[in-house]
Amino acid sequence: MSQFILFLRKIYFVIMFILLEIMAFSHFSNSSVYANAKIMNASAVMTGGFQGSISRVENFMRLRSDNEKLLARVAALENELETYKAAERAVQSDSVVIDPVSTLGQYEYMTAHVVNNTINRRDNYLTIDKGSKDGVVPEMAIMSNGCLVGYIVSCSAHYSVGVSFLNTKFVTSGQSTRRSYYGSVRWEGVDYSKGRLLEIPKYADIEVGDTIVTTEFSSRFPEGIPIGVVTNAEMVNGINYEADIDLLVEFGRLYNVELVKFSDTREKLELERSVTGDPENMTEGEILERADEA
Amino acid sequence: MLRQVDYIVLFVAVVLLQLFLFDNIQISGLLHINVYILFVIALPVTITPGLLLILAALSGVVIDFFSGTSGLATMSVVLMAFLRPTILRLFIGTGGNVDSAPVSGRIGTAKFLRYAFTMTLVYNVAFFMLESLSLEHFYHTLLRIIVSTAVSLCVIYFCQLPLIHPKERI
Repeated sequence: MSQFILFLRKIYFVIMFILLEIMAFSHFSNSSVYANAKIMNASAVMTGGFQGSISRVENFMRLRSDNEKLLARVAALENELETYKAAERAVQSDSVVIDPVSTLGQYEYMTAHVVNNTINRRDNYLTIDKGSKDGVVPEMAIMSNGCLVGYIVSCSAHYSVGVSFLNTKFVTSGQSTRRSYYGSVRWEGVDYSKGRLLEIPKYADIEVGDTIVTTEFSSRFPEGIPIGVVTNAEMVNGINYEADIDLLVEFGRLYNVELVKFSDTREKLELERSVTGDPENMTEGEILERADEA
Repeated sequence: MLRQVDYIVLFVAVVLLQLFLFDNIQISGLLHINVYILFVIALPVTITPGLLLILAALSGVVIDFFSGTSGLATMSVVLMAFLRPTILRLFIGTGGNVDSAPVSGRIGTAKFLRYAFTMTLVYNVAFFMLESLSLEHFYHTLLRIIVSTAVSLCVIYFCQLPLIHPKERI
């Protein structure tokens, strides 16, 4: 009898173990980027304040180097502005500008701070301290010093959760700054300072040192945001090139980020395209991205 | 002998440490310090198996909720709890006067380290294998397991030191 009770005891332990594992596994296997971000948002509402003060302290420690980077960036932007000013002067001297407004304000920028960010998982997310009350909406691009970080997935009133580039479910299209080839860019889940550029056609003149930037085909990112620099390229199966890229963002020490939203112009274009749905007008990279997103 | 209230304090303390301290240590993609499993490691040896599983699952769910790991922590910590009675039998034995928390002040440092190492290893193997869900980048996963287990074990050892009142030490 005592043997039988002992047996039952053992059995109930095993059954309970299996049930708990099944419940956890079903939750794990059903989790999507969006579901995860929602959960993280709910927890950010509870812990965000404290996490925020921790990251503020961390940030305080590296103000000096951040300041230097900021100055370098201001200088670069001033240079860029100067070229535009020069171009404008040249245009004004011999022609009439009819509608300058329609080309302006395609993107809206805002800044935010990272409250919580991981780099040691396969699927990393980041929480930022601005939410829907500050005008953040899902699908906004996240950048740091003008380089690609990720995009917003879920917003609560005061916090937002974004998918980091360091997430194996993240994929976007990339091109070289010379516009000579396209491919899809993703993280392979190993080194947090390296990305991978895939599906580059074999006729591409890929070179080490090429800067990879976002393409115009992305519905999330403005064109030309730097992602990384090609460090080596190899032929795969004799059909495509694949290249390793060194990421330009230091994900380990992310604090100040910029958020970018497409304004109406872009939205209108997208809408028109979705209604006409003309696949002939779709470019190679766009098809590639759609296929990847599917 | 640790009382129930001690375990509640321990649970809150390790969860807070995990979320606000160790989850913020992001210095390498290889390192993932898990200190909250100390709660399961330090539960009384004589605890009923059902309660053990439930408490382990509870700690996993809390960690999953706050760090966005969607069931990974729960799966790993429940597996660890399931193997705990076997590991305890192997390293501490059924005899003796151990009716309390299997911590170093009670069972001795060497025994505790062997026991805690096995538990941490089980947790980390489950966690990282489930996270990658493939044998791709196997050596990288292996490296993550080794680095994370070693560092987690050190941290767990130091965190469990205050768990036993000095007069109880052997």
